[in-house]
Amino acid sequence: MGSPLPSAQRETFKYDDSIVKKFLIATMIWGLVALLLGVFIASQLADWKLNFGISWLTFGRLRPLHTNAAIFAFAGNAIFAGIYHSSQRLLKTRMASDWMSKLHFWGWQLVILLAAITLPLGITQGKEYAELEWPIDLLITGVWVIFAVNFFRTLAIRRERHIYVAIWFYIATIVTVALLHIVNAIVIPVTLFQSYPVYAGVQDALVQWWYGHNAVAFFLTTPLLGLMYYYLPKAIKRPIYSYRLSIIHFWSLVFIYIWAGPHHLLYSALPEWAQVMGVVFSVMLLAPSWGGMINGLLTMRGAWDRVRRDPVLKFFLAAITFYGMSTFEGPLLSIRSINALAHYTDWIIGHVHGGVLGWNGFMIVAMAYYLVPRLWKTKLYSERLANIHFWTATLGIIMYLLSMWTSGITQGLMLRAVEGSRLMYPDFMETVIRLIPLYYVRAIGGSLYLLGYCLFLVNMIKTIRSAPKNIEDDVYTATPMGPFKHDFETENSHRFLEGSANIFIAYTVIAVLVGSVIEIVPTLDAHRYIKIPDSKKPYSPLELQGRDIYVREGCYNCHSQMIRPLKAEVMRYGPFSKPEDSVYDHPFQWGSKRTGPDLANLSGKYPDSWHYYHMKDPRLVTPKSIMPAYPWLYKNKTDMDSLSKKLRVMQQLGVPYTDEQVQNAVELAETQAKGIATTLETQGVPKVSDSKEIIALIAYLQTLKPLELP
Amino acid sequence: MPNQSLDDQHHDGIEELDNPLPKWWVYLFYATIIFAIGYGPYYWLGKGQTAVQVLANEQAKTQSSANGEATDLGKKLTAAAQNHEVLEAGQVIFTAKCAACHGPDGGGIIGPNLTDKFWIHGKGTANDIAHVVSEGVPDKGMLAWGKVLSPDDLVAVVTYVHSLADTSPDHPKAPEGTPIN
Repeated sequence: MGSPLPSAQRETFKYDDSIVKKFLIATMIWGLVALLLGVFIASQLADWKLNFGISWLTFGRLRPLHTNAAIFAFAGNAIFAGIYHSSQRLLKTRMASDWMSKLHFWGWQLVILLAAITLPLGITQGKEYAELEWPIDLLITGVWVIFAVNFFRTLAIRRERHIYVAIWFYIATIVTVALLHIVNAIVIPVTLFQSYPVYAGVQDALVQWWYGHNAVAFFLTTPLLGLMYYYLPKAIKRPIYSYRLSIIHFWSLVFIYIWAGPHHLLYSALPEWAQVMGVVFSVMLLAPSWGGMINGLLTMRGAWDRVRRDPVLKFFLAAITFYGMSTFEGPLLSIRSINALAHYTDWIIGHVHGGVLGWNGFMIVAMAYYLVPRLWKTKLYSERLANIHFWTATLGIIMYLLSMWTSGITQGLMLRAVEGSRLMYPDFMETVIRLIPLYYVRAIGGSLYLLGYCLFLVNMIKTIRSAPKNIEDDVYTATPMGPFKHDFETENSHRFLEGSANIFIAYTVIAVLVGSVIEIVPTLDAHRYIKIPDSKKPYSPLELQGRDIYVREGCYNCHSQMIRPLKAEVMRYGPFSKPEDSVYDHPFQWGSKRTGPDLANLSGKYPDSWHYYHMKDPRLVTPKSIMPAYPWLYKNKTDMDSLSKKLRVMQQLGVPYTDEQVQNAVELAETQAKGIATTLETQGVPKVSDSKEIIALIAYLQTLKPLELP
Repeated sequence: MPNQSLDDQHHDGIEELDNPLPKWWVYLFYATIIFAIGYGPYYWLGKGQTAVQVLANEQAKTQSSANGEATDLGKKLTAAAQNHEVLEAGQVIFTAKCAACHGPDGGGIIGPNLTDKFWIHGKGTANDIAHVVSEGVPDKGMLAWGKVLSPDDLVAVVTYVHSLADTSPDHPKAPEGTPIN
């Protein structure tokens, strides 16, 4: 980079480490919250009594909080800590704006706090990992824009011309998460606390899983790979194994990942071409993912003796190994015949926890063990404690994964077992009972991981307490980048890209847009080609209200509404689901897990009275059920005030309600509620009040029926 | 503290080797791409059957084989009444599936008393009971168990219910339906 300039032209600066410390401390706190929630809801599956009959403690409401806390609070804060710390050093500059950094930090904590309040209250959009309601979504967008502007301005004032591979991954993260979040969060508000997404049914499903899958890709993978490329060589003091491998696996990963979302919807009502797209891109994702793994592992080659002693390296090694395992398991689960067995079962739960506990969790604590002593200018309190943490957590993950694999495969095989023309286990309960012991093993595994995490926290607190009183920031000098000049002699074409951040960003945007546009644009138009039969009616006002209760209680966390065209499944549930079935569903409620049975063909299967008793206490009609009781549905009055507004919004979204229906929504609902109450009484239910929420929910549940098409 | 100059250091001191791509990795990547090139067009343009088509074929096969499975329920019920093992199996099924509504001893809770001489549907014969258990009474809340229970289990539980006649439950529900003689 030319000859050194006289010192007068060099600039003096300090890094902003206070923002890194803030994000690190937030990481530690929210990590504890996410894990506590995880162990709690895992225990609820082992013993339903732990729902305590309290609405905001039920599984359906806390599971979204657990996933959001793990992804956006724990991993999110950790990613930001690592990005703020490493980017300043890799770009040889302080962040462009200290106040923007602070706004980012406090804004993000506010988002998390609001999530922690609203999700247990049942304020949700009913889409996985995108549950937060529209005002919080707006806040997230604002905070993310602040982060992006701050980062890109920092990139512009860098004193290092060529951007390092870690920065590439950060760029991909920032642009893609913004795209995913905004597209998936487009809604029309009904009230401050409720909205309906503009997409319905199959569209909503595709957009949601494009988002959901790529939240894993661009929130839990690319930023962590960036962190790996910085912290691993720093910690092990060895060069990165292969620069050209990093180029190839970066671009192939970013380009291919975005296409793979439909593998969450195999055998669903999603058009076949899109499903096949999901399969082929998921399989092609294996090598790009493993490119990152081998670049990490081979960077560690030759230093295995230090890995044995140093807990930081141990965590890195295990994290990268879990990354390799998860990214092998992912393509495997995308193969259709395997997916047919594993989808909707605990195998998927095991798969994500291998990724989040093993890859993300271990990367994050490795980074913290490395970073905290350096930032606070002290030494790690106890290496021994860190080693105990490592083994406790590893044992915890192994118990978790083994129990969930066993559970998933057991249930998958039982549900599909057919003898002649009969299901071998026609009663869904039979398959659930077998899994309970495994749910205990899982809860113990999760508790061990939590225990290890607590040891980590003790270690961190003691380390920070031992810090010297006045920590002075180091002062650095460096020469400004100067005007851009491309050196054709020494720079290959990718080196050129690394020198021109704006072009790099543009290429990244193109790479993620190609797959997004090709998959999503035709699907957005799909409803035009669906011929909706006359028999398909929109939900009545009362049914719509019941559906909102279904969404509020998070029923989709345990029940699917998507019968797959598979022999055993059609025998168990009836005709498979078609796109027409959910054409008015804003949001779609296909679900991704069957802790309980599918509900797409529930209508008429049970009488109203069965539902009445079942929701009051599932054990009244299904002994050994592990579903929570919902006593508050019998106390809360159905909200009639917002009904007309809800129908109006649905009408704007293209659901064919007449103006008359919109205006008379309350009357229509009341009439239908009276009818259901009367039916319940004739079926022998004493003292029914037609104004309670249970009536609306029954109305909705009795509508769930696949259309019989000619 | 003296200022540290960073001019001679790039990427915060991290070095990168430029090792060639591992061969097996390159071949793995090629293999997945070849798979994709084959798999995609096979389903989009070629002979690949959609899940719906596969299901239709399977269902056609199953139906032809199921036609020979007709069972003589009446004969089975008569034979089962004498069989102690069948009664015990029936009791297990009753406890698991029926007791929630009909009470652990058949005295009735939500559902009617099965021990008295009053019957709502039919006259309480094994065949009548079998019909109600199999088809259900949707309007009243009785589920259709014919799809859930295997034929043997159905026979067992019906036999058990039939054997409850004239027993004395702890908390008998008031009679419903019409008396039989």
